[in-house]
Amino acid sequence: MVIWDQTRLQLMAARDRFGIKPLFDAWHEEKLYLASEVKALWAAGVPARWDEHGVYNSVALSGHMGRTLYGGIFQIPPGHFLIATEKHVQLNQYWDFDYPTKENNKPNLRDQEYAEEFRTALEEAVRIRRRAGVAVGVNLSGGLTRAQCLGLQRSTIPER
Amino acid sequence: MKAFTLTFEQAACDERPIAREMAALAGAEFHPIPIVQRDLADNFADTIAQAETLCVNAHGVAKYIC
Repeated sequence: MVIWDQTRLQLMAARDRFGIKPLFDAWHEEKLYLASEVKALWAAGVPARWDEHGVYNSVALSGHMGRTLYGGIFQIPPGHFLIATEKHVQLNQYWDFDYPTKENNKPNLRDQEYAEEFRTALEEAVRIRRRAGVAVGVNLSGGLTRAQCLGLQRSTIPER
Repeated sequence: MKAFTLTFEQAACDERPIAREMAALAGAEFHPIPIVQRDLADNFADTIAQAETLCVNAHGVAKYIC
Protein backbone atom coordinates (compact mmCIF):
# COMPACT_ATOMS: atom_id res chain seq x y z
CA MET A 1 0.00 0.00 0.00
CA VAL A 2 1.34 3.42 -0.94
CA ILE A 3 -0.25 6.71 0.18
CA TRP A 4 0.80 10.19 -0.90
CA ASP A 5 -0.08 12.94 1.62
CA GLN A 6 -0.31 16.11 -0.43
CA THR A 7 -0.70 18.35 2.63
CA ARG A 8 2.46 17.14 4.39
CA LEU A 9 4.28 16.32 1.15
CA GLN A 10 4.95 12.91 2.61
CA LEU A 11 4.76 9.42 1.17
CA MET A 12 3.99 6.27 3.13
CA ALA A 13 4.55 2.77 1.73
CA ALA A 14 3.59 -0.21 3.89
CA ARG A 15 3.98 -3.97 3.48
CA ASP A 16 1.70 -6.58 5.03
CA ARG A 17 2.72 -8.31 8.25
CA PHE A 18 3.99 -11.54 6.68
CA GLY A 19 5.36 -10.16 3.42
CA ILE A 20 2.87 -12.06 1.28
CA LYS A 21 2.48 -9.13 -1.12
CA PRO A 22 5.75 -7.87 -2.61
CA LEU A 23 6.81 -4.20 -2.37
CA PHE A 24 10.11 -3.05 -3.84
CA ASP A 25 11.92 0.26 -3.61
CA ALA A 26 14.89 1.78 -5.40
CA TRP A 27 16.69 5.11 -5.59
CA HIS A 28 17.71 6.24 -9.04
CA GLU A 29 18.94 9.70 -10.02
CA GLU A 30 17.76 11.13 -6.68
CA LYS A 31 14.26 9.80 -7.07
CA LEU A 32 12.49 7.13 -5.03
CA TYR A 33 10.74 4.42 -7.03
CA LEU A 34 8.24 1.94 -5.57
CA ALA A 35 6.55 -1.01 -7.25
CA SER A 36 5.07 -4.41 -6.52
CA GLU A 37 7.19 -5.98 -9.27
CA VAL A 38 10.87 -5.49 -10.06
CA LYS A 39 9.98 -5.38 -13.77
CA ALA A 40 8.00 -2.20 -13.17
CA LEU A 41 11.07 -0.50 -11.66
CA TRP A 42 13.17 -1.45 -14.69
CA ALA A 43 10.46 -0.16 -17.00
CA ALA A 44 10.51 3.13 -15.11
CA GLY A 45 14.24 3.53 -15.75
CA VAL A 46 15.96 1.86 -12.77
CA PRO A 47 19.03 0.04 -14.20
CA ALA A 48 18.81 -3.79 -14.31
CA ARG A 49 21.83 -5.46 -12.73
CA TRP A 50 22.53 -8.40 -10.42
CA ASP A 51 23.30 -8.13 -6.73
CA GLU A 52 25.79 -10.97 -6.17
CA HIS A 53 25.18 -10.96 -2.41
CA GLY A 54 21.44 -11.04 -3.01
CA VAL A 55 21.81 -14.04 -5.31
CA TYR A 56 23.99 -15.81 -2.72
CA ASN A 57 21.43 -15.04 -0.01
CA SER A 58 18.64 -16.39 -2.16
CA VAL A 59 20.40 -19.62 -3.13
CA ALA A 60 22.21 -20.42 0.12
CA LEU A 61 20.04 -18.81 2.77
CA SER A 62 16.53 -18.82 1.26
CA GLY A 63 16.49 -15.10 0.68
CA HIS A 64 16.90 -11.90 2.65
CA MET A 65 14.18 -9.77 4.24
CA GLY A 66 15.42 -6.53 2.68
CA ARG A 67 17.59 -7.42 -0.31
CA THR A 68 16.65 -8.78 -3.72
CA LEU A 69 18.48 -10.55 -6.54
CA TYR A 70 18.99 -7.16 -8.17
CA GLY A 71 21.46 -4.38 -7.48
CA GLY A 72 20.00 -1.15 -6.07
CA ILE A 73 16.55 -2.72 -5.61
CA PHE A 74 15.38 -3.51 -2.11
CA GLN A 75 12.19 -4.78 -0.58
CA ILE A 76 10.33 -3.24 2.30
CA PRO A 77 10.53 -5.99 4.94
CA PRO A 78 7.34 -7.66 6.20
CA GLY A 79 5.63 -5.70 8.98
CA HIS A 80 7.41 -2.46 8.02
CA PHE A 81 6.44 0.85 6.48
CA LEU A 82 8.54 3.49 4.84
CA ILE A 83 8.03 7.23 5.29
CA ALA A 84 9.60 9.51 2.70
CA THR A 85 9.68 13.30 2.67
CA GLU A 86 11.77 15.68 0.62
CA LYS A 87 14.44 15.64 3.35
CA HIS A 88 14.58 12.08 4.65
CA VAL A 89 13.48 8.48 4.37
CA GLN A 90 12.74 6.31 7.38
CA LEU A 91 11.89 2.63 7.65
CA ASN A 92 9.74 1.68 10.65
CA GLN A 93 8.55 -1.64 11.97
CA TYR A 94 4.87 -1.72 12.94
CA TRP A 95 4.44 -5.42 13.71
CA ASP A 96 6.44 -8.48 14.76
CA PHE A 97 5.71 -12.00 15.95
CA ASP A 98 4.56 -12.07 19.52
CA TYR A 99 5.18 -15.53 20.84
CA PRO A 100 3.98 -16.22 24.37
CA THR A 101 6.68 -16.61 26.99
CA LYS A 102 6.49 -18.37 30.33
CA GLU A 103 5.92 -15.00 32.00
CA ASN A 104 3.05 -13.76 29.83
CA ASN A 105 1.54 -17.08 28.83
CA LYS A 106 -2.22 -17.49 29.04
CA PRO A 107 -3.65 -19.42 31.95
CA ASN A 108 -3.96 -23.11 31.27
CA LEU A 109 -7.09 -23.92 29.28
CA ARG A 110 -8.80 -27.23 28.84
CA ASP A 111 -8.17 -29.06 25.55
CA GLN A 112 -11.71 -28.31 24.42
CA GLU A 113 -11.15 -24.57 24.99
CA TYR A 114 -7.91 -24.62 22.98
CA ALA A 115 -9.75 -26.46 20.19
CA GLU A 116 -12.56 -23.87 20.17
CA GLU A 117 -10.08 -21.00 20.13
CA PHE A 118 -8.23 -22.59 17.21
CA ARG A 119 -11.43 -23.25 15.29
CA THR A 120 -12.57 -19.63 15.70
CA ALA A 121 -9.23 -18.33 14.41
CA LEU A 122 -9.23 -20.77 11.48
CA GLU A 123 -12.81 -19.89 10.51
CA GLU A 124 -11.94 -16.20 10.51
CA ALA A 125 -8.84 -16.84 8.37
CA VAL A 126 -10.89 -18.81 5.82
CA ARG A 127 -13.66 -16.19 5.79
CA ILE A 128 -11.22 -13.33 5.17
CA ARG A 129 -9.54 -15.18 2.31
CA ARG A 130 -12.84 -15.84 0.64
CA ARG A 131 -13.34 -12.14 -0.08
CA ALA A 132 -13.10 -11.85 -3.85
CA GLY A 133 -14.87 -10.38 -6.81
CA VAL A 134 -14.83 -13.74 -8.57
CA ALA A 135 -15.72 -17.33 -7.74
CA VAL A 136 -13.33 -18.88 -5.23
CA GLY A 137 -11.90 -22.39 -5.58
CA VAL A 138 -9.83 -24.46 -3.17
CA ASN A 139 -6.53 -25.97 -4.30
CA LEU A 140 -6.45 -29.49 -2.86
CA SER A 141 -3.43 -31.67 -2.27
CA GLY A 142 -2.94 -34.72 -0.13
CA GLY A 143 -2.68 -32.59 3.00
CA LEU A 144 -5.12 -32.18 5.84
CA THR A 145 -4.94 -28.38 5.99
CA ARG A 146 -6.49 -27.69 2.61
CA ALA A 147 -9.19 -30.28 3.12
CA GLN A 148 -9.95 -28.62 6.44
CA CYS A 149 -10.27 -25.20 4.74
CA LEU A 150 -12.58 -26.67 2.10
CA GLY A 151 -14.70 -28.34 4.74
CA LEU A 152 -14.96 -25.12 6.75
CA GLN A 153 -16.02 -23.12 3.72
CA ARG A 154 -18.65 -25.67 2.92
CA SER A 155 -20.01 -26.14 6.41
CA THR A 156 -19.82 -22.71 8.03
CA ILE A 157 -19.86 -20.08 5.33
CA PRO A 158 -22.89 -19.61 3.07
CA GLU A 159 -22.39 -19.72 -0.69
CA ARG A 160 -22.61 -16.38 -2.47
CA MET B 1 -17.96 -24.63 -4.04
CA LYS B 2 -15.26 -25.67 -6.48
CA ALA B 3 -12.04 -27.52 -5.70
CA PHE B 4 -9.14 -28.32 -7.96
CA THR B 5 -5.81 -30.12 -7.88
CA LEU B 6 -2.83 -30.44 -10.18
CA THR B 7 -2.39 -34.00 -11.39
CA PHE B 8 0.81 -35.63 -12.64
CA GLU B 9 1.66 -38.63 -14.81
CA GLN B 10 3.81 -40.32 -12.17
CA ALA B 11 1.62 -42.03 -9.62
CA ALA B 12 4.09 -41.20 -6.81
CA CYS B 13 3.51 -37.47 -7.37
CA ASP B 14 -0.18 -37.61 -8.19
CA GLU B 15 -2.63 -36.64 -5.46
CA ARG B 16 -5.75 -36.83 -7.59
CA PRO B 17 -7.39 -39.81 -5.84
CA ILE B 18 -7.18 -38.34 -2.35
CA ALA B 19 -8.09 -34.83 -3.56
CA ARG B 20 -11.16 -36.23 -5.31
CA GLU B 21 -12.13 -38.08 -2.16
CA MET B 22 -11.79 -34.92 -0.05
CA ALA B 23 -13.83 -32.87 -2.53
CA ALA B 24 -16.58 -35.49 -2.51
CA LEU B 25 -16.62 -35.54 1.28
CA ALA B 26 -17.04 -31.74 1.38
CA GLY B 27 -19.63 -31.80 -1.41
CA ALA B 28 -17.43 -29.67 -3.69
CA GLU B 29 -17.24 -29.76 -7.48
CA PHE B 30 -13.88 -31.34 -8.34
CA HIS B 31 -11.65 -30.22 -11.21
CA PRO B 32 -8.38 -32.09 -11.90
CA ILE B 33 -5.82 -30.07 -13.86
CA PRO B 34 -3.42 -32.41 -15.72
CA ILE B 35 0.22 -31.28 -15.82
CA VAL B 36 2.73 -33.18 -17.98
CA GLN B 37 6.53 -32.87 -18.17
CA ARG B 38 6.27 -30.88 -21.40
CA ASP B 39 4.09 -28.24 -19.68
CA LEU B 40 6.67 -27.82 -16.93
CA ALA B 41 9.52 -27.40 -19.43
CA ASP B 42 7.57 -25.01 -21.65
CA ASN B 43 6.63 -22.73 -18.76
CA PHE B 44 9.87 -22.79 -16.75
CA ALA B 45 11.33 -19.55 -18.15
CA ASP B 46 8.01 -17.68 -17.97
CA THR B 47 7.58 -18.72 -14.35
CA ILE B 48 10.97 -17.32 -13.39
CA ALA B 49 10.29 -14.10 -15.31
CA GLN B 50 6.88 -13.56 -13.74
CA ALA B 51 7.72 -14.66 -10.21
CA GLU B 52 11.07 -12.79 -10.27
CA THR B 53 12.68 -15.47 -8.15
CA LEU B 54 14.68 -18.65 -8.49
CA CYS B 55 13.13 -22.10 -8.87
CA VAL B 56 14.73 -24.98 -6.98
CA ASN B 57 12.23 -27.42 -8.49
CA ALA B 58 9.18 -27.39 -10.74
CA HIS B 59 6.48 -26.94 -8.10
CA GLY B 60 6.37 -23.19 -8.73
CA VAL B 61 5.93 -23.85 -12.45
CA ALA B 62 2.91 -26.06 -11.79
CA LYS B 63 1.33 -23.31 -9.68
CA TYR B 64 2.09 -20.74 -12.37
CA ILE B 65 0.34 -22.91 -14.99
CA CYS B 66 -2.81 -23.26 -12.91
